[in-house]
Amino acid sequence: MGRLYGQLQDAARASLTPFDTMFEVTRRCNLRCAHCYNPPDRTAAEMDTAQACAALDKIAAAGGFMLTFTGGEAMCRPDFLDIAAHARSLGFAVTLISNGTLITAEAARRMAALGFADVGVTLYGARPGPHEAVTRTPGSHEKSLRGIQNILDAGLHATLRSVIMKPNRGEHEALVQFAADRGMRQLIDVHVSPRQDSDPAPVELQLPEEDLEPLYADPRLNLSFAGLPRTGPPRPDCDAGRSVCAVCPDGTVYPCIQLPVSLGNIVQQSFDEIWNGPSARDLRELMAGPLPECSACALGGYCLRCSGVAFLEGRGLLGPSPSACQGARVIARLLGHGHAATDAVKS
Amino acid sequence: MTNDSLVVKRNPQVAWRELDGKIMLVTPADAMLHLLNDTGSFLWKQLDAPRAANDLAAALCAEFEVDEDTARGDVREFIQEILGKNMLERA
Ligand code: SF4
Repeated sequence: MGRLYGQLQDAARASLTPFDTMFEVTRRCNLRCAHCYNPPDRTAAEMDTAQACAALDKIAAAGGFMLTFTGGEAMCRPDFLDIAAHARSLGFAVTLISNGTLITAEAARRMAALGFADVGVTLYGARPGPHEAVTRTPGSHEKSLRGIQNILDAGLHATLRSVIMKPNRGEHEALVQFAADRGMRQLIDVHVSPRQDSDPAPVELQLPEEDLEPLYADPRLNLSFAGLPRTGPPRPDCDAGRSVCAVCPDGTVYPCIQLPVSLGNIVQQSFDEIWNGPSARDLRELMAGPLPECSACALGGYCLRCSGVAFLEGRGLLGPSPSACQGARVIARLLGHGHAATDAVKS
Repeated sequence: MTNDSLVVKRNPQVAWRELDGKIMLVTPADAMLHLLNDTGSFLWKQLDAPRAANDLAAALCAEFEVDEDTARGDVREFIQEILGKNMLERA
C-alpha cells in the first residue's frame, strides 16, 4: 500500500480519524507460540456478538476504514465470521491475521464472498520442525498449511507472516520460497516485543545482533530502511491514538496494539468520549515529545524507534528502546556508517 | 469503449470510505488501496444505486459547470478505468 497509505494516514492523523484499527476479538488460541505478546491468561472477558458489532458501528461512524481482526486466534470464536460480515456491511477494508489452523475450505469461501482484503497466516517454518519449535503445538504445521491452501483455493489475497527468532533461525530462505511458490505476499520480522503485561520473556527468543545483519541486508525480507538515514532522532508522536487505534476483546481501547494504555471502553462509552477524552488528550500531549535521551543520540538518524515498544520494554513512552537501538546499530553498519554505531556505543 | 447508456454499479466487494471529501477504496483481489480524485469521488457518491453513464454525466454537469461533451468524456474515462480495476460492475 506504500506511499498512498502513508498519505492517507497523514490526512487521517491531522483530523484524528481512526483510519486503521486492530480489533482483537478474543485472547483464546489453540496454539502456544513462544513469542506471543498476549498475557498467558487466555480467559479475558469478551464482548458478545452484539457488543462487538456495536463497537464496529462506532468506529465506522468515526471514519474508521482499515480493520484488522486478530487475537488470540480470531477463528476460535464461533461467531467471528458474523462479526466480520457486519464489518464488511459497514464498508471496512477487512484483513484477518490468523494461524490458519481453523480456516476450513468453507470458512475461506465465506471470507472471499464477504470481500476480505487480505488474510495473513503466521508460519514460522516451511517444515514442521522449526514451525512447531515456535508454536509448541504438535501437528500445527500441517493444519496451518491446510488453512493456507484453503485461503488460496478460495481466491483470497494472502500474506505469509513470519518472525525469525532463535527457535526457527535460518528458516527465512525456505519461507521466502514458500511464499513465492504460492504467489503470497510476504512479511518477515525479526524483532520481538515484550508481552503486553511487560513480561520480557519473548525477547529472549530474539536473534543476537550479529545474526540480524544478514537478514536486514536481504532485500527479500522487507526489513526495509528506505529513507534512512534521516536528519535527527525519530519523532515520538507516531500515528498511535491519532489515526491508529486498537480494541481489546473486552472493548478496552488502546491507542495502538503495541501501546497497551487504556483510553476507555467502547462498550460503555461513545467513541468520541474515548478518542477526545482526557486520557487520549494527555497521551497526545505527552507524545508530542521531545525524546530527552534520544535527542543527542548519534544513531538517531538510523533509528526506527516505536514509543509503544519502548513503553513495553520498560523505558517509558519517551525513553530509548533497546530493540530500536539494536536495529539502528545494524542499519548504520549496513549503510557503511559504522562509526555512528561505535560512537553511540561509547557514549 | 464505454457506451453512454451503459449502466454500472459499485462492486459490493470493494471496501470504501470518504476521507476529507475524497473516496478511498481497497480492492479485494489484490488488497490495493486507491484514492479517487475530486471528479471520481463525486461520481462514486452518485452510485448509491446503479446509474447509466449519461445520468452520471448529467450529474457532473450540474455539479461542476462543465459542458456536456467534457462531462461525457470524463465519465467514460472514469468508468473505463475503474471497471478495469473491478471497482465497478455492469448492472
Ligand atoms: S538508537 Fe536508541 S537512543 Fe538512539 S534514538 Fe533510537 S531509541 Fe533513542
